[in-house]
Amino acid sequence: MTAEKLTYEEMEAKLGEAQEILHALRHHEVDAIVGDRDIALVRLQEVEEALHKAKAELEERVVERTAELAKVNRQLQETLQSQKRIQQQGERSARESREHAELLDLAHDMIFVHDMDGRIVFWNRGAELTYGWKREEAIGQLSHELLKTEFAEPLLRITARIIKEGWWEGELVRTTRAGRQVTVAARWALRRDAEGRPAAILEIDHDITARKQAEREMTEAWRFAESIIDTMQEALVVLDAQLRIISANRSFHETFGVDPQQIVGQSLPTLGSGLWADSALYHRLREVLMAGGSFEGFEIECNGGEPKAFVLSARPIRPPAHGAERILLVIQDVTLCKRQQRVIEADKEQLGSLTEELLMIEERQRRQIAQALHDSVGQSLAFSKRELNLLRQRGPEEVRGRLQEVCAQLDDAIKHTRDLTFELSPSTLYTLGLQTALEELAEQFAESEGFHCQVEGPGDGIPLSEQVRSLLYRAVRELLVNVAKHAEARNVRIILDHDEQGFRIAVQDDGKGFDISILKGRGKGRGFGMLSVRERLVHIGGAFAVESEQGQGTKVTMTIPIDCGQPSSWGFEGRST
Amino acid sequence: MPIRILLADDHTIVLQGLSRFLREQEDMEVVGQAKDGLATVALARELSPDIVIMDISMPGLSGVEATRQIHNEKPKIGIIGLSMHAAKRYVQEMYRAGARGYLLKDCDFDELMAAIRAVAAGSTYFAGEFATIVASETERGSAARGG
Repeated sequence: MTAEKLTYEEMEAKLGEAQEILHALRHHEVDAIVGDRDIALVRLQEVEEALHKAKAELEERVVERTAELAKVNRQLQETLQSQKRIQQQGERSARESREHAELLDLAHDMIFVHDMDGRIVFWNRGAELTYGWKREEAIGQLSHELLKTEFAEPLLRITARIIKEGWWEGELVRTTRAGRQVTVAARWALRRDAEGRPAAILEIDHDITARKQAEREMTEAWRFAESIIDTMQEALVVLDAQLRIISANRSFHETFGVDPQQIVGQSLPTLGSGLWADSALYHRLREVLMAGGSFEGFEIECNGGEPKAFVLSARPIRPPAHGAERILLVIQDVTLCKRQQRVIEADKEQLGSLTEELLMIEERQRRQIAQALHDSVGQSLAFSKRELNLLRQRGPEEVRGRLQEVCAQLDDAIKHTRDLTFELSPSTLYTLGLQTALEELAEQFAESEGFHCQVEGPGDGIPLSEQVRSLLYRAVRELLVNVAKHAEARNVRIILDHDEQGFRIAVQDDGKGFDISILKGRGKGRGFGMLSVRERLVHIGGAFAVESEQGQGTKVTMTIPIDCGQPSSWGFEGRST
Repeated sequence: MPIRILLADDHTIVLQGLSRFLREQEDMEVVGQAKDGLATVALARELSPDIVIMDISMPGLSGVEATRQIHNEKPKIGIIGLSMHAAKRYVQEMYRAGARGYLLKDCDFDELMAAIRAVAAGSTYFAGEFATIVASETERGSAARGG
């Protein structure tokens, strides 16, 4: 065996040989070679050796080759990988470019690019929609001419800045194809070429026309609100959760003489001359803070110096679920109002007194007229009638008929005088007392109106002044007129009663009753008489109560406290009619 | 023996008319005239007339009160109310005070004389429409009259 390396072909040949031998051996072709047993053995040995050697070499070569192949394969793989990467990158950047362009189209903003001469080279969908020119129309146009751009500062300065700093932003006004002016917030960015020279300007315009309008409106609204707040007569103050002043209006400054610059941040309770250090007010304000509620009509008065009165109301600002962050306190100066109220009260009181006085004068005059009718006219008529009757009896036959007629006329006159006297002023009221007069009145009503009318009382002897007597008599008369007009009653009771507290008269009927709420409306009609009775009673310190329900009758109770019911004269005192 | 009469009225015309007519009557004598309640009570006390013709409306003391006082002092004196008042309250009051007759001032002299004679004879005289009032007052019993 040579030590040199065998070629593949040689090795193959030897292998073939070996295989043949082995085959022959395997197929008992031993005879063919047995002839020369040694040769065969030698051959077999050689073959075996060659085989071993070839095998070893082969294995070695296979290992070498495998390594070689693996390396090549690896290189190939790397190459492939790198090619794939490059391809993917390419695809990605193409897609990204495409997407970017699409994104620019998706944006609502108007985006366009123009070169350093101002000629448009890119024009997005937003620009098409807002400015009105299609991409193909816009490209190549001078952007600022097309859009009639109005600059807040000279374009030259803007250009200088953008070249220096690379960007610019500001507000511009542009005109669309349709002629509408659009306010935009513009942002410009400079693009440079490979050598770093300015190449193009990218403009992104955001339409802020509506926002500007809203801002203008808001400013106007705010000015309007501010002017209202400042011209309001009510003082307004906003407090924080610690009751410190956040802001206050002009009226607050003026009313309380505080410096607008200095009160902000001050605690309200410590402000001024102790007017605000009211513990009840503090408590109420804390409540608003804690519970988020509100209050109205809280009155405070300041008596130091010129007396003043204020009405406060408070409510939370932005009330969250628990408690408030701020309080709006509205302060109304009611000093004048209070003063006027007192004047009105005094006037009302005076008017009441005057009215009462007038009514008493009227009553007195009625009584005087009634008395005059009774004393002079009545007596004269009675005397004349009696005397004429006598003459008629004694006189000659021819005048008797005539005298009879005259006497009949006198009779009528006497009756009328009597009725008129009673209407004007019932003498029984002053001679026999209130109960007797009411009994007389009740009988008269019973007769003329057809209902049963009963007076119940302790009898006369109740000490009542003439004023009270006549007032109560007129009041009962008014109530009976009401009963007759509206109640459809069958029975009316007039109940007089007195104790150490005072004197009471109740007029009670079993009529159809009425809704007493109509008495609250000071209108005409049924309530009117009752109201004037009530006012007169209240004026002299008495009271007037109505109980009624539909279908349940009506009871009116008038009460006179004992001290104002005291008589200035008794029933039988003085000259009676 | 004529009936002795005291006239009480604050109207002169009434006093004159009445006294002139009564003086013409043989059985009657006007013994006095008073123009107010107090004078009437005093004269009645002093003169003890058979009859007092009493007006109700008089200054000072009213006819009702004067009647009450005279009746309390001298129940035998017959008192006749003579008034313009037709209200039954006055009739009641006069009756309760002790009057035994009541007439309206425009009544005939004949009626007045009839009343004077009836009361002087111890009876009562209440003109037609007042009779029922007196009847119901009588039912109330003498207790009501005491006062």
